Amino acid sequence: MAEYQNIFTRVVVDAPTDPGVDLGRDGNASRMSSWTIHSRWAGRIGDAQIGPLYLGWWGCASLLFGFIAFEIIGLNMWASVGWDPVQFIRLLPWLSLDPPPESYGLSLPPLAQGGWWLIAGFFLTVSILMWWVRVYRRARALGMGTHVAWAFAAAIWLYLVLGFIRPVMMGAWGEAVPFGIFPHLDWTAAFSLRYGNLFYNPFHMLSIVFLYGSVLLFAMHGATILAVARYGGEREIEQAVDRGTAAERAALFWRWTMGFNATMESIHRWAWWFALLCPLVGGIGILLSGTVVDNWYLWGMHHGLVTPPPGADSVPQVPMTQGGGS
Amino acid sequence: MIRETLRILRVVGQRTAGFLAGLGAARIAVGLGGFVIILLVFFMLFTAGWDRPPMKSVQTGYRGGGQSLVYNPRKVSDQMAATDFQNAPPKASSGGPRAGAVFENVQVLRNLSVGQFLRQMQGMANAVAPDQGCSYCHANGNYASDKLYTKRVARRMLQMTREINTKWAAHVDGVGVTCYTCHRGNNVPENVWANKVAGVTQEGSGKLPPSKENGYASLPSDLYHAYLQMDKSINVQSNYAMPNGAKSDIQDTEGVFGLMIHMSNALGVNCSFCHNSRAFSSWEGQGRPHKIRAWYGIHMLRELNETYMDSLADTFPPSQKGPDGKPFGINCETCHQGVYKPLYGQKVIADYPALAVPDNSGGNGKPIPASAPRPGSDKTEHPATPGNRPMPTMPRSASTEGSSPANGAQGG
Repeated sequence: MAEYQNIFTRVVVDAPTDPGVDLGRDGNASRMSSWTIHSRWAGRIGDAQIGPLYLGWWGCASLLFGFIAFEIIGLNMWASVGWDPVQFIRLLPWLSLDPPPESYGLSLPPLAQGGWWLIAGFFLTVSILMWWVRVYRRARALGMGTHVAWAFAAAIWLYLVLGFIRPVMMGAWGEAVPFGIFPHLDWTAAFSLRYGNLFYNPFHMLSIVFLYGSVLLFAMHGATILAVARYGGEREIEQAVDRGTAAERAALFWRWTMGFNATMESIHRWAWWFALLCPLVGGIGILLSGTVVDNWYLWGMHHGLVTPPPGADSVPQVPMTQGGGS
Repeated sequence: MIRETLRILRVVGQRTAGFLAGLGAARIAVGLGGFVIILLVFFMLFTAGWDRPPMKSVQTGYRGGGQSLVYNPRKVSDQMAATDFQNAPPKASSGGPRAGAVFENVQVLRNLSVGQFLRQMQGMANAVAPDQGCSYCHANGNYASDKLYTKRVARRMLQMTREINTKWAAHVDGVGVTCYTCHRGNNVPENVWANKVAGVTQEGSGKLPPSKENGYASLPSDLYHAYLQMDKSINVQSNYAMPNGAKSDIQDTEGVFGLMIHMSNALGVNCSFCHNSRAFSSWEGQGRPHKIRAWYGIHMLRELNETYMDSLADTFPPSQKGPDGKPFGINCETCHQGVYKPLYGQKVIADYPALAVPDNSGGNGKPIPASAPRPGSDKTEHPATPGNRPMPTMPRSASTEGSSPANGAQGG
């Protein structure tokens, strides 16, 4: 018998385009004004109906600004290899659009000295913020809560800390991240090196807790619901209201195995907060680096966070300034 | 039990087969995915920067701290087998008249006996110009003539070698340095540096093109002039927990990162050879002796490049200079060539003791930097090194033990 599964399915979830129930003026207007198509491929991993896609003015403006940023970054990268198309593709992972040298501070640098970086950053930031507005307004138009928008805002917070808030507090655009695949990764490594090992930053620790915690919760939740899908467990909202076999079994499973279970609703709050807190506390950790704490390792030593290696007493302890000035 | 297991296996097999059959067109996607995986594995195995297992790991510090050296034993043995070690002529008598009295225009090796002098000359020829022999430096059989630039360079290099072996014993003692350490039978050592000139990049960060020197990372690679000739600070990490006005930025850090990758490549070692990776700027940990030795090496290179190599700017013909129009420079790779001790620690200086004699005819005259890290040195005061900026006090340092928070923290 065919089973209802969303991924790796023999059954494609599909139906004629369905306008659904009346959602009120905003919801209907947005829904009816766009196109839909049906795709068997989409049906294998989710809903076969693609669209309607609501762009609106905010979406269009966001895409336009994002496109401008993308072009500025890409063309600068291409220029950096002398407009050689082969080198552009070959070296693409290494190519970068760098922020201005620190010496420019927060002033407007020449275009080739980071000016393009500043312009690209402006357009990308405006694009992201307008996309956030779009996410928020679409949720309101459907009468939904704005949880998705606030989750997105947590990611935007980290982005703004890295590229705008912290550089402004440090007084130089040069503190910000370069655009580029390897460049932004190497920047991250250099950031940790500069501030004395970010692993000793408690907010970095918390961020990792929420990152791995999100993974754990996602695995637990996904596995639980899949495991009771045969009893209709994936219809979570009905299950929460009309307590049925699936919800009871899922809850009992966790009480059996660890004595406590989240509810059909609270598990989503767990997941939502864990996901949000990951970039939220991570951003705090970045923001404190260089502004409040200059060397997290020494800070950790100072507060008894760092364990001296066993036998350290026999190792001559010389200050890190020994050999400084080299 | 067994029957039950077999039944489960059979059901799983049937389900899997049915599932795959049911995929239909999705098989194409699976095939494509498999192809991508094969490509990635191929990429991992056969492109630069990857080594297949097994690797050899040597623990050098307390367990759990990541203090270990990792080697590819196959590469190490290949590299060792391919190394031509220094092969010196038989020793010569030290008696008789001095070379300076017998030969004209001998300026550096004047106190050798005639036999020792000729042997030294033969050794130089073997190391630097095995194909051309004496005539590479000596014009038309007139051995006293300074006509050829090569002879003038060689004289300067003799002075430099003596400076290395005497003043910089903290870096080279035990093995020493001879002409062969760098030259290995080449007129110009194989690994030298020049400032990069506009090539693939037009403007910007000096990160392109990716090179083996910095591990194909997106880090600056045009670093040697700043760090191994001039005195650009390598100490980018703060010595204080809190900001204290001293400021080095992320871009400086990327430069130092690139330089350190160069050192790692040049010596064929990983970071923890010198560093405790939890605190790179700290002098704690098992790698400390190597870190101190490397620290002297950096200061040594600054003198060699600035005082010796650059003094030959007018001596070298343009064809023997870098694309930037300056003499080539020395970096870690020039001597080390991928090995933690050049020539695996062969005591090359034992063959040519004349190169380990103090020579006051050309160094920068500066003493060895006084702030060299010494074990057990003062725990309460920062070294008052001339040229170091005065150490500002950190705010909120009242609870630390010593006068400096770094001290109090590390001593604890």
